[in-house]
Amino acid sequence: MTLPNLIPGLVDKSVEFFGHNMEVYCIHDGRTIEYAAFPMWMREIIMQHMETNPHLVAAVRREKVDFSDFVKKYIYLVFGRIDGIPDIALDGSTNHEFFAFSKREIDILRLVHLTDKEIAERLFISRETVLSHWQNMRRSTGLNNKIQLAISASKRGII
Amino acid sequence: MNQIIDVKKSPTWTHYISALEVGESFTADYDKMPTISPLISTRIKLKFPDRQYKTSKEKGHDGDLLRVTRLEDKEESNDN
Repeated sequence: MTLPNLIPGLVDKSVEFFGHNMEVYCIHDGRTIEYAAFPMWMREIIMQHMETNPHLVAAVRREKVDFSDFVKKYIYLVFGRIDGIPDIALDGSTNHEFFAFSKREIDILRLVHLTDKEIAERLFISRETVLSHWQNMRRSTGLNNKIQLAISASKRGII
Repeated sequence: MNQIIDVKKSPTWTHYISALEVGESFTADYDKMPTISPLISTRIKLKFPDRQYKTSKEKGHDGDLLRVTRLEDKEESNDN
């Protein structure tokens, strides 16, 4: 029998962020911590993540979710899903699960089964534009295969 | 009066498998195996009789994964 993975941070010192009612919390060392009480080291890791992922910062800025605190909005959108993989692992490394796709990119993902030329004809754009959208999506997600991109988007309910 | 509704359909596993190029692969949660394997051996085989696919199990971050790889197409037989 395969047992489901525990939520990270429930019995260890990794960190799992989650959002609830437009508030941000994390689970760490068996405790639920409110955003205002996040320790300094945790905030520093998030700040570092923002510095190394300017495309995510730009995407979070574009998202129409009303937060007065940008860091809170960033955590909410980039890390705020409980997914079994620690957002901050025991070694301090981070795992984000936010894919910021534009409306046009979502249209293209839905047509993944067609050739790029067919997608271009269907969406009245050039093949070069389609290729450029695929390239941007690969770069922002780190996934190098368009089918994997569509599967990931589908798993997250984006398409 | 007729109404035009824009229905946006998500791709299906058949779409994903059909779209694979030779040598390309993707991974899915391993629990999708009972859905994907019969698709390859029936629907995809009927649609593209020369195509060959390989499925294998691998370890992922969050459990087992099923990797689906498209192999080289079957060579046409020269029996005639």
